[in-house]
Amino acid sequence: MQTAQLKAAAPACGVARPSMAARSSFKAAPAPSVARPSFARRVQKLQKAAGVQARNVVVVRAADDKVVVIGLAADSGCGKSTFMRRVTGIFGGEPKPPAGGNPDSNTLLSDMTTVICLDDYHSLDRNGRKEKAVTALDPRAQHFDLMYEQVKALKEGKPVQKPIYNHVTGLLDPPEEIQAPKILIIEGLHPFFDDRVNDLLDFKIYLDISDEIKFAWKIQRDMAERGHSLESIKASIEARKPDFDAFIDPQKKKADMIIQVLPTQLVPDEKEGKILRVRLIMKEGKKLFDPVYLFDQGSTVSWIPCGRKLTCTFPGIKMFYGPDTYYGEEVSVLEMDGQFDKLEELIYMESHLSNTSAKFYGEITQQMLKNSSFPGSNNGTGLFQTIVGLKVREVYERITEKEVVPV
Amino acid sequence: SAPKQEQIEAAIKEAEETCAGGPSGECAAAWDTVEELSAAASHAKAAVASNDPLEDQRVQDCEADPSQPECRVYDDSSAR
Repeated sequence: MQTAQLKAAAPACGVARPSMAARSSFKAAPAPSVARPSFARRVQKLQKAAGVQARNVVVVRAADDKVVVIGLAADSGCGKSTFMRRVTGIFGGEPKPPAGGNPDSNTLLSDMTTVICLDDYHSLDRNGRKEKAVTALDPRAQHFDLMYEQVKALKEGKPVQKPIYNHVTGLLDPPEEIQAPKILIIEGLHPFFDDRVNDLLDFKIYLDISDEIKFAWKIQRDMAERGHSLESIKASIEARKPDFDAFIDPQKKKADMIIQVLPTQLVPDEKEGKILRVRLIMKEGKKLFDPVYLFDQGSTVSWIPCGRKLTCTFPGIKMFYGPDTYYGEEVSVLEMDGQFDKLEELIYMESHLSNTSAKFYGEITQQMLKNSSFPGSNNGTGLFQTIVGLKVREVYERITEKEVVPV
Repeated sequence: SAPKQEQIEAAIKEAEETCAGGPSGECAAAWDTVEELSAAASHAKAAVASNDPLEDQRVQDCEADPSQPECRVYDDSSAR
């Protein structure tokens, strides 16, 4: 029975539970830091039996503490959970589902961050959408009034009773209580769709995966499963595409930073989606963050780091940096095509980037190494996700005027 | 819990049948259900699977009883 509970699935749309490798060190006796629901209860019981004072779980917060709200938008299967693991990793502590609650909860809590999956604000459950013939991408299936009220309440430091959308049963489960965190991250399909919610967000991130790569990733994700065929994956993407183009994609105009994932230009006809051209598009002139730049701010630079100082294997790495416009707004674009095989390549490139918001030399490389088992750790997706994570930290520091100690 | 293999297969079958008459709202909704279940399954798999069954076993045993000799870690740095 214990085993069954421990194997309880991770949230379907939130951050996946940390990998085994990340959890491989265990502390002996009472170790609340390793806790997951069933385990936490065991520890409490053990502590009680041993006469140990259980650690106080009520967090008292000073009234002037501001809650910083971050929004992440992306379609299903575009790497939101990997991205969330990278961002929360920068603030330390292991994100875990609320202790003792619904095992299918999508929420993830760590010391500083709370990640809420916006699927929890579905107004129609799976059956309701089937009857009304709408997808989850359709705003008619989403309860924006409740989303606005609860995000606003959390931003004001008040707890909320948030519903839970169960991804396995497709039903809306009874709500769970969410306390106001230091950093609230809302992730899902519609974080910037409603202007009231949009105005509450301090920093907006959009993961923009091109159709070719989305197809390649879904093949990798689903083909091993029985039932899925190339045709079914293709049909699924095509059937959802009209709603995606109408309701999800336009949100990227509102984002502060966009991570765009495209097919590589280094290898002709690369179809597997393994080698990627990744672009980090950063809005100019924002108060809360400064765009990263390569060599010289505002210039246009194309750089191949491979040469006498750095040996690269095929197909090598190509960097690009330059000013551009994105839906009529001034942006800076940093681009990386190709992948790295060794750490030296990353530290070498990091040393040529400026305004990364790193706190010490090599912080990006160190973060990437810490999470080296995550997908995208050897290409631009991991690199730019890590940089955006450092930007999230900087946004938090500028708003609260507090320093976050690097972990 | 993770969605069962049969649940996904049934959803795919239903979507294929619903879409037999060409694109429609029902068809999109049916494929959306497939996507939701596939994503849930893949997240559940990423959460439990590692490449090392021995390590998985150790993690399981140590979570069940962290006081076993092979599970103990004394972190002296935080002792004082």
